[in-house]
Amino acid sequence: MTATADVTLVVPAVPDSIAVIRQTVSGICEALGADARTVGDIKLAATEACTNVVLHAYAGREPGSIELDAFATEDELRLLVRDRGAGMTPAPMAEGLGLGLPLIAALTSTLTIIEPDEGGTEVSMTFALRDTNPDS
Amino acid sequence: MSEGEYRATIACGPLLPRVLDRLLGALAARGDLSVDRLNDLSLVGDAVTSAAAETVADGHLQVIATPGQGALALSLGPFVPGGAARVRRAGGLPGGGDLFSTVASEVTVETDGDAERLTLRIGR
Repeated sequence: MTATADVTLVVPAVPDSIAVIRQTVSGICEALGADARTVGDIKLAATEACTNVVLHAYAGREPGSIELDAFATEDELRLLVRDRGAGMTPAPMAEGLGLGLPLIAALTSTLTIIEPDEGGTEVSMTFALRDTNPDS
Repeated sequence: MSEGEYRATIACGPLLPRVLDRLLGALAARGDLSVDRLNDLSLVGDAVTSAAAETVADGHLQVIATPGQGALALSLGPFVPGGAARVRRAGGLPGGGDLFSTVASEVTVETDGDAERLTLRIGR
């Protein structure tokens, strides 16, 4: 059985939607009592994942959407970013530095990327909401 | 999903007040609404949140929004029968009237089976 998300967002995969996603993620983090650094990290990772969708998922295809599911517990937030686009493909001519996924990996406690049978890409990111190592 | 449409579903629990407030603010900005309207929408969010526990039909508030240039169409629900009117009463203003009809140029209640949706047209 699939768990019901606490928050679900489906928005057009266009640059202007990123601000809507960031604000929604901010609201989730604030409601969960995350500190400012954690909120910043989560927003950055969500922005990177959603920007990948805007830039790459629907290139050369009909415009599509970004789907975000948020699952919250007292100590963790899991964000699932999904598209129905082309799936992950090598992009040797891309203009970016290619740091998006490594950056997301550095900001998350768990990162899983899958290509579902029905197409597209799912990026699952789990974040610890409480700093278990205050010296870090 | 229609082109340009934003859909959100939020569990009616502790996340709702903050998430709805942030979401409506971002959608208002997306629709190029004025700062005054942005503040008004924050009050709309407060009214919906305060009545959500008793009025939202399945424990999850759904927001469907279509931002335009200087405009925003909002549909909120699903509410239990009579729920949309209770949400409007939660936004009651001193001296009569309600916040929803002050903020929006058009407020309608749509019925789909047993569920109701509150639809607002804000701006142009």
